[in-house]
Amino acid sequence: MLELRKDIFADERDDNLKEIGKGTQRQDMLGHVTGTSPYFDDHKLQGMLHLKVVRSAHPHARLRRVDTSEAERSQGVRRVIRASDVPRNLNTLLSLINFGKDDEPSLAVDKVRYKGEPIVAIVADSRARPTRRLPR
Amino acid sequence: MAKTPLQFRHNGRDVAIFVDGGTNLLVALRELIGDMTPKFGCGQGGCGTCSVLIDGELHLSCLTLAETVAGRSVETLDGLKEGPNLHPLQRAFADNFAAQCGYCTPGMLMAAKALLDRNPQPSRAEVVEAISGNICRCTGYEPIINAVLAAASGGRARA
Repeated sequence: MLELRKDIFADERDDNLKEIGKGTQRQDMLGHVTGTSPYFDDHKLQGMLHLKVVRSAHPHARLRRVDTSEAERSQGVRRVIRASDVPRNLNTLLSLINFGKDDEPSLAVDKVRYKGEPIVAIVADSRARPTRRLPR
Repeated sequence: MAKTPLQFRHNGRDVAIFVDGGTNLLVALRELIGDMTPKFGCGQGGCGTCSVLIDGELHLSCLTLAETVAGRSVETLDGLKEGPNLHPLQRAFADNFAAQCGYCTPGMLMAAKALLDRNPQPSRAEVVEAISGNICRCTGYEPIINAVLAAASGGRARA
């Protein structure tokens, strides 16, 4: 016989268990209809920076040169992260399930292998668009 | 970059900010005024969750240049509550389970308000038309339509 732990939610409801057939208001509804439910984009942290990723426009191409000089000079840019800054990718799908060779780079090194592959990450004060210069 | 001074009414309150050229109204509201109720969905006018009322007319704030609202009146979900009380539309949305994740709700409510302000007794088809620019990815359209109809009839009838 299963023991019912009635003490756990004692402060949230009376425990007569007569809930069936009654409408129950959702706990998050008031926040939703007043627009006060916080979503990911609504957080403002102190000293918060924004990261934007420059991605490959080509499905398969050699990276001959990545020119970040203009981005580095742009106002508000704190850091330009290149592939050499993150030599090991600790969060590939394969590494998370502890399986197989872990060869997917965080940022493309010498070649992009799909359209949209990350090449450079730019950390800046605001989310205004960083300039991009990527000769192929 | 030179910033432009901008004054307008925000939910009945006069506000004055400085905006960069090209700033859209959504960014001005969220980042410069701090009103987080209009949401950033697609940023290209396809989803409707950034909807606000400009002089009572429904607009997509992500596609509106901030400078174009100079001297005009902008209403967002933040101004919908009547003092401490929920607006009838908010009450109806809550009572009719018309929000699931809640991300489309600000836009849905503003679209519904724009409709009821000009047409207090809409038909079901008119409600569907009014929220047709707002995407609900939880696909809870039926409860939303029912909520707007319920608010229109004073919270009594269920269509």
